[in-house]
Amino acid sequence: MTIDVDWVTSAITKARGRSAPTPEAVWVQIESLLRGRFGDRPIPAKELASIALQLIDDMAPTLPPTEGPL
Amino acid sequence: MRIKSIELSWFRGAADPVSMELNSKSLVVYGANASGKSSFVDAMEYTLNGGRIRHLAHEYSGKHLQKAVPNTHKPHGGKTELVIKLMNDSEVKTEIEEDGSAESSGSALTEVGTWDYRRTVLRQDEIVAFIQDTKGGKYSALLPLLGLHQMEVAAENLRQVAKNVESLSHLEQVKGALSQAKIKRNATFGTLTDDEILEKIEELHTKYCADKAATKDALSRCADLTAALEMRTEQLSAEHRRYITLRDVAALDIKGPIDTIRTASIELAGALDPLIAQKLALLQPTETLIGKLTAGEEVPCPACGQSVRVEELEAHVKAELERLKDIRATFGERNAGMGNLCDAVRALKIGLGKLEVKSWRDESAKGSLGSSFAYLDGLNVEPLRTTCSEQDLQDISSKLLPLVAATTAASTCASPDAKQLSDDKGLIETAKTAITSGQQAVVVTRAETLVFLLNTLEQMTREEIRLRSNTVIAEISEDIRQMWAILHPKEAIEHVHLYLPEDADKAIDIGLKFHGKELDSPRLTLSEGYRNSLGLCIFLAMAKREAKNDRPVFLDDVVVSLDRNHRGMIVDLLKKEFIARQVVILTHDREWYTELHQLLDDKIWAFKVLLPYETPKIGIRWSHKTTTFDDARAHVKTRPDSAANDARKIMDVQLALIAENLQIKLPYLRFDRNDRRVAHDFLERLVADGEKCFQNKTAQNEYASRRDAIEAFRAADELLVSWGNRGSHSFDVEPAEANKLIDVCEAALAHFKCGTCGKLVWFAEAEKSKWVQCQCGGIRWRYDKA
Repeated sequence: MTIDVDWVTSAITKARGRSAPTPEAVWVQIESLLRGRFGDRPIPAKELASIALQLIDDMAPTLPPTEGPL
Repeated sequence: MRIKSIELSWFRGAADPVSMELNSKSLVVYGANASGKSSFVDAMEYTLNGGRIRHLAHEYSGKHLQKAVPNTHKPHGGKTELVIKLMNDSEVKTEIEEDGSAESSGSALTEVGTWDYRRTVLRQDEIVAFIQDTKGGKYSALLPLLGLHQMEVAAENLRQVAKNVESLSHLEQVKGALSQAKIKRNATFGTLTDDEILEKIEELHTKYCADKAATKDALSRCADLTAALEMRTEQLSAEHRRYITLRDVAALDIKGPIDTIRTASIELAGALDPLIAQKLALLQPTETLIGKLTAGEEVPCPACGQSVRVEELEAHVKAELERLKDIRATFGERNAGMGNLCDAVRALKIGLGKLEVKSWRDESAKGSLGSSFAYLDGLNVEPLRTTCSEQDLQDISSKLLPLVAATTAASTCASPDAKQLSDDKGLIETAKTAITSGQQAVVVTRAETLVFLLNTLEQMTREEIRLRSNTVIAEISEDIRQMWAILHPKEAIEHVHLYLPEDADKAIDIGLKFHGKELDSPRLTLSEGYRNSLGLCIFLAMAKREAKNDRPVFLDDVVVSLDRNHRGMIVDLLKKEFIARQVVILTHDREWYTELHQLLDDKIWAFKVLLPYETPKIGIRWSHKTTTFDDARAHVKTRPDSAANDARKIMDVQLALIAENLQIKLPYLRFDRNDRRVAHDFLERLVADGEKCFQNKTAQNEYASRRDAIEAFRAADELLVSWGNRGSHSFDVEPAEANKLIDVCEAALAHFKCGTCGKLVWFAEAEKSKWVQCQCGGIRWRYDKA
């Protein structure tokens, strides 16, 4: 039994409703994780780190480095 | 797709190629212990599990099982091979090299690759292990069979990505730094708002940097201010510069980290600190390692070398880490305290090493602070970051706190200008930290949002797994109940079912009703036989889900602990639930083999016997006494003498087994072995005893002697003596004679099976073991002939 598309779509919609505004790129990445883009095998450690870094980058797309509240 | 044959060469017990020919039929194989039955099952496991055989994976078998898989006496140049051929003549051929590496090839590779081992093969030891396993172990064993493996992997991937986000964002450390920055801000700015702090910076910028543009951002203004204050400090007299340095040193917090470390250490002391530290040191890298392993794989236990499933190890590590969660937090606090202490002592060392405080220091060292300065000079600071004993804390308290106190006292005489410069410098440093903290807080919020998101989706995936598991488990439980009812009709153990315990994630257990009372586990009450029977039902219910794919099912010695009645019921189960599947039963129980031979349909089932194992070089061998009456009929026209001989051989074997079941007493044959008795010897006794012992129930519900059976035995005996012997000795039997012999022999054996219930006459004992009878009591045989 594979992860069906309808369930993934509905789960992502629910999660969007529960979380703070999040860049679209992050959702795309998380959705592909959930759809089993990596097949039925656990993701190797190196790839896990690169996905995590990509997600961290995607979360901060536009903020200049020296601005922000105290 | 059904199996046509399994051929082994120098694999396990096999020597020269030996083939299990199924030809699409189901098969019952009888063989004494160690005759080589399980070598065929091992071949299936090896092929389906990518070169692994669970019961052979141990510290002596080698990484690739190279010491266990090939025949121990394989000649030089002999090849270890196994070939599984399917009915469409496609095959999977696996060649195993000396080092245990193996390569599979063939046109059936894709088809066989989709067969799930646990839904294809059931061994007796696996039933026992499954029932005795923990609920987590049962979940791991059943999860792939529930078809939810991909979701489980997705959930685990989400969890691992969330953990990576946490560690790569340095969430814990940054949060610790933010908390320190907040304390410093409150101490310096009190309740000032962000805007008020920015205004304050602007004021100072106007005061000290009038020549600089005022439009810069706050951090740049702070940088301007730091440079301007440094310049002004440089212009002060040496005495004032000394005051400023001493004030900086006096502001260092050494006591705070010491208190933090002591509090955490007291908490950890109660938790056997060294052991916990070792455990954490082992568990955290183990958890990372597990992330790299594949579910379903096996890994050697770090302690004993035994193979354990990745899921079992993961569940154990996760549970241990959860149990140690609070302790991990305390460890974190202690480590942060040691880091802060290390930083403060380093700053103290640098501050008191500055040229402007040299005269004060030299003067102070002459008095009671001499040993404190000596201690500070000799102190190697960096190791404090990772190791800090109570003795270290005591030394630091007794030696360094007086130094800080002395700097506080010595800096009170500073001029107002110097004090102002020092205060402003401190204020700017705190403001800079506060501004940077603001940015860090944004990063923390983003990382926390991301982790929350990933955790939420992981949780939702796990909830969905649970939901779907419940649906699948309900379907499987229905099948289990039906199969249990067939094996145990009208017994006090009912409502057998799988369930997901509410109190645990990743867990499955077996519930049942025992004499009307609901129980959470079969291990509470069931006997070994019943547990095995239950395991069999669960496996068969799982295997049944492959019905549409018509995949074979192997049952290896699965009735060892079942009594005669329940073994008999398995035939009913196979007939009702698996008539359309290819089933291979391997047994060392000759009595059960005979019973199966009698009860199962020859058109669907084949029966084969393995010869006792002699030497590894001779290997596994089939007995030729495995022909059926239909096989004999098949060559009546071409070789009538051979067909007649086959009928005689069948009667020799079958009657020996029947005589054993009916406890027929036979005279000892002098100068010869008793197992050399032939059909005639048995039939003679059956005719003699049958008059008194063999009865059937009449229409009036009374028992009467089975004269028709006695006549049938007599007729078979007469023909066997005349034509059967000719078939084996003189080769002059006519086709018609052979046909008649086969019919008469088959008819004679048929009398032992009840025409009403279909069970054999020795199905159950009756009247205090005086009789054996079929299930309905339609026919019976008397043990006690007196």
